[in-house]
Amino acid sequence: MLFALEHYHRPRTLAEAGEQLASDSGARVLGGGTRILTSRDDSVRSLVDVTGLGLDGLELGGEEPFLGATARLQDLVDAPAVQGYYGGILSEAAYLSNPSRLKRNVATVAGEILEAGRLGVLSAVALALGARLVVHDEGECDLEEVHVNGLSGIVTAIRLEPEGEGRTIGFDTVSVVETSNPMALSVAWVEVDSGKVVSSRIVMGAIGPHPVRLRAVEEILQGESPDVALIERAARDGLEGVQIGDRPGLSGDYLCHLVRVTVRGALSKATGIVGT
Amino acid sequence: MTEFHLNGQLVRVDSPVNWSLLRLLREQRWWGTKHGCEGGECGACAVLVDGRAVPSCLTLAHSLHGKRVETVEGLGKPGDLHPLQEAFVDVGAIQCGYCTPGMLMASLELLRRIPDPTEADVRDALTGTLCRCTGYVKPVEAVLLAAQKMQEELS
Amino acid sequence: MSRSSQFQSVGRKTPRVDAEKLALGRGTFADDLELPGMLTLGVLRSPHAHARIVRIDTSRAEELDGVACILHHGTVERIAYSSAGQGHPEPSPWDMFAFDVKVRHVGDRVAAVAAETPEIAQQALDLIEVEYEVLPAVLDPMEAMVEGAPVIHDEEDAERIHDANRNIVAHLQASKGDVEEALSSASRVYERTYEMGYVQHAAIEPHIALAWMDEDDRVVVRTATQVPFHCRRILARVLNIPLKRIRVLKPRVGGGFGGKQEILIEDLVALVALRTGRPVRYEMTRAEELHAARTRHPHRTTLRAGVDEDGRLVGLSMNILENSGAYGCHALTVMCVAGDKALSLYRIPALSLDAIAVYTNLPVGGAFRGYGAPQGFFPLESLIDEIANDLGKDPLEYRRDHAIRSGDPLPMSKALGEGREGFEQTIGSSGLFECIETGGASIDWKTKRSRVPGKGRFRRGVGMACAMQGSGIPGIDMAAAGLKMNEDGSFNLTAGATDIGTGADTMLAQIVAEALTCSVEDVLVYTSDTDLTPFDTGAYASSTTYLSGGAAKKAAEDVKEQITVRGARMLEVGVEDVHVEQAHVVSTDGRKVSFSEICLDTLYVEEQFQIQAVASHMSYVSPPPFAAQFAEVEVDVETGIVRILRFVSAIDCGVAVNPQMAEGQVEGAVVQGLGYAISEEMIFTEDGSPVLLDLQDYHIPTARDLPELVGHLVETYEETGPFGAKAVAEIPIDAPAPAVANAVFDAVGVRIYSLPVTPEKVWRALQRKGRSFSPDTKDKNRATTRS
Repeated sequence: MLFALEHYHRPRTLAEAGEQLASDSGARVLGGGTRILTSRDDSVRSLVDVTGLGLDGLELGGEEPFLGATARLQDLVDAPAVQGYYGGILSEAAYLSNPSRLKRNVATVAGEILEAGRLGVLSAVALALGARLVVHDEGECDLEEVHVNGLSGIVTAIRLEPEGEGRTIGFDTVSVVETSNPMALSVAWVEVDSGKVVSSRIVMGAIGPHPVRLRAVEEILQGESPDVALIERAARDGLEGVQIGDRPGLSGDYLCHLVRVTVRGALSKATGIVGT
Repeated sequence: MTEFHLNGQLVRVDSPVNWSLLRLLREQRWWGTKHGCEGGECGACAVLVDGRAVPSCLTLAHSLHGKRVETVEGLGKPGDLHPLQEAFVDVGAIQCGYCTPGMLMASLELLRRIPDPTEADVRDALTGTLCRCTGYVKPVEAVLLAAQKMQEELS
Repeated sequence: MSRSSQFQSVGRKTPRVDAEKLALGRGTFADDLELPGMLTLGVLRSPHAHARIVRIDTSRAEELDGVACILHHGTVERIAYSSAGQGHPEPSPWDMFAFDVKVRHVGDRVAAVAAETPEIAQQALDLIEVEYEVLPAVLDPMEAMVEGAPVIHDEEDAERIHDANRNIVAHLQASKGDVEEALSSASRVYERTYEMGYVQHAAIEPHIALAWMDEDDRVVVRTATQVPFHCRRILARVLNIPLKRIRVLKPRVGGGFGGKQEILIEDLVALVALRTGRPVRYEMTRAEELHAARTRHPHRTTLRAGVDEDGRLVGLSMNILENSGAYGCHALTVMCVAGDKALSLYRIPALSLDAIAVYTNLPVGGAFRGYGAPQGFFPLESLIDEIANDLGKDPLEYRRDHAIRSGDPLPMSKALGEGREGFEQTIGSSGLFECIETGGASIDWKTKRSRVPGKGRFRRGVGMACAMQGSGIPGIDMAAAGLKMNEDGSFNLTAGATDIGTGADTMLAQIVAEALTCSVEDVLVYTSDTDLTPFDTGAYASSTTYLSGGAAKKAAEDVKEQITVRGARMLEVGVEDVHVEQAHVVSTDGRKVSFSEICLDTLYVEEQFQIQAVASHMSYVSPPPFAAQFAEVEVDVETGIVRILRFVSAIDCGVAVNPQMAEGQVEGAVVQGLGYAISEEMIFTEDGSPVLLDLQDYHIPTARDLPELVGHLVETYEETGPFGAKAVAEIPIDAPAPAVANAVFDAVGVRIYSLPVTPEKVWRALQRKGRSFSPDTKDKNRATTRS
């Protein structure tokens, strides 16, 4: 409950929304509300509801794929447009990002990607797909930068890597039971040309507040031919420097092990190379 | 002033800005919609807004202007139960009954979308409405039975 | 043909008497009521695990518009009590106060505010200034007993704490035969220690209570409770007002599982109503539920078992170290049940129990479905499995060979009453053998146990465990019921029995209908109102079917007698020449008179009187229901993740009064038990703060998390139960955890000695097994004894 909430705005245009947001330092953007309405944040005095602005398109076919900011997670699960894109990866990720259908019906894509819910699959997949956030009146910014610097303003869409020859993606997640929070989660996006990895984004989710790129893993892959040995080496050597602290109920070294298992699993799914 | 349709009736309410739909309903003595966490996790407060099952605790009352809200009170009447309600009663899917309205509304959305769901579809629809009594066995059975009955009625 | 097939109402799938109104979402729960001018209460809770309140300043909160009442240790009378919600004399120590100068766990009460709106209440709570002297906290029960550990209950006025200076709530010892002698002469001795974690009831309806003053200046408390009569008695003590000034009403309850046996919040609303004269409502938030309500008591249990040359069990000793948290609610009696049930399941000549409950600065243990039995059977059934494997015997056959049988004495029943000496008992009905057979066939035990293990990442295994519970607390629990006849042939049943979603109201109606040969619809059930219904100890200890059902049956038989007499008189024959059939009294020559006609006659026509009866029922025996439960699991050897593929329960609950409801009890209990087995655990930081404060983080099973659940009701006929019935609500939660742990061993050859069986524990055990772990050999029998 937001105890200090005084105003609810439902702007008709983006420009109006921008003005309302700018006019009050206690104003926040309201999407699905799954986080802000339960935050008990007493600095929130007004909410600017952006769900009626038509920002819910999903365009994934062409050269400039994007997700509308206020599309709901369940739209990603259901929309036919999503099924063809990287084999339906976004659909699967959205489904796993929130076990509750009720919450998938309200949670928005932008909220999920920006804040990385506790299950965090979509957020990690978006990072692996090079997500860039389109911010009203401010242009685009990289999701990774947003994780560092935060973001103000209204996100209107999330741009993602187009599909292409040799480009594949896969993820692997481990949780105690199907719908509990993942203990570890990894996503691998790779581009292979003439048998060599020419580009990759390997992402670790579920550890820390946001998903992060595992650049050491990416460096090992770069220029190499993907095979079982490479995947093993990348998952082992690429994670050598990664330190994960103990969490209540989970030790750091076990989590490190799980990250290794999921990086291997994600690479395996992305490349189609299955170890013995 | 917020105007919306509640189970087919146009209602006008003037509620405080921070009220959720759940709070609004209960303050108006619509007791069917339950509350178990006010964080969207338990689903006891599920209602349909424009046909979608949502946690009413995560829906601001003011955001409902012009929308259609359906609650368990709109589903059936004494002696004239909705097939879903009938099935929940018949198969013993109701134990304490606290999660029942939420489960019914989540199932209603499902059956409108997929009239002949698989068990996996039902389990997905009910993930989000937590139940601590039944182990979900009989609720799942009830939704499948209701679907079957509703299909038979149509044909 | 089963004996239950002779019945008309009992043994049938009668729909619940309350199902339709619940399906319609009718307002039947505690909170579904609006009272004019109702206040909302909020509670300020301790952020520290252990601290003294040096100063509390409520002046700014008091100035706030809309604040009606503020409660804290300075404004509320100090009376020692226990919130445990048990009978008189209470077995739990009086070690708590409505508000104290000390806080003993994160989430302990500091103050409460009643205000016009939830917003104002919250604002006022934020304005209360509290200065704490933070004290060292102790979270581990072993450390808590060490000399020099912080003393959690240093107050002078607590009563009946076993040894407050050493933080010992209770100490319990019992034995049969000479265990040390038996173990020293045994050919092998196994000693293992098991740990069971903190779990939460997580009923979907939080704790909720309303209170108001009636026109006679009595306080009425409408609360989601399992124990309305204990609630009234305990409120009288803590509020220091006459019991007759209190009325407790139990409306529909949204799940209890033991959590609502506690008198957790009723004192707060009653105090506000008494002070302000206004109605007030308090509902715990989910976060409060997850750290400031009650939990299952964590146990650390060491078993020592000896076998002779033939592998027969000759002695078993059980040492329990119980973490009771900050208060001693149910501390002693949970250990009694753990010991009594676990030590009684097998025929073992020498037995002993030594159990200690200890205070720590963590959340408070309470009653939780199974009530110690799950904490007893995880160790027992893990060890039995290990011994059988070690001896090269089939664990199923080994269990069957040792299992207690009909006619056997219950070895600990006299020594381990609940909080006082109990009574000698022998087993009446037992379907344990049939449960083992039926469940084993259902999971395909023989084939699956001999399965060649896989070599890959995912390995499958099956495991089993057995359990027994009781039906009420012998010699202690009592239930009463009243039955009154109406002129249309319907009956009002009034009972203290407390339906918390279990179907008790329906079960009682079926029993009355069976006894009277009327229809279930003609029995109108009204329960749990301390003014209007007879007494009942409440919904706990699996007592309702056996005892409340027994009371209802007695009352119905009495009423039937009265009906028969009047019916015979109306038919102008002797009572020996009539019988009751389908709500009529029928004479041997075929004439009949209906219940309705009989009642009209008694109320209006001749020698008028009300046909009615009140009956009480208690029992010196507590016939055990039995279970054999089986799990098939798949273990990921890379991550340690355990997926449960299939779970089979075979349950002997005597005659199931309503098989559909009994199945529902089994399914729900199994799922709760599987949560206990693999996924649920309350986690705390090093300073005792809770980490998991909502239902996504404290993850209870969802519809997508579950395996195929199979249930079999194995019918027996319990001669002492109403129409052959025993209890069913708790027994199915007792054995899922050991069945799963044993299945994990079958799959990958490692034993997990603590609950929950988390992936990390399995993974670590596999690591420890290390390079000796060969995917080609299923080295079940290589587990070494740690004797």
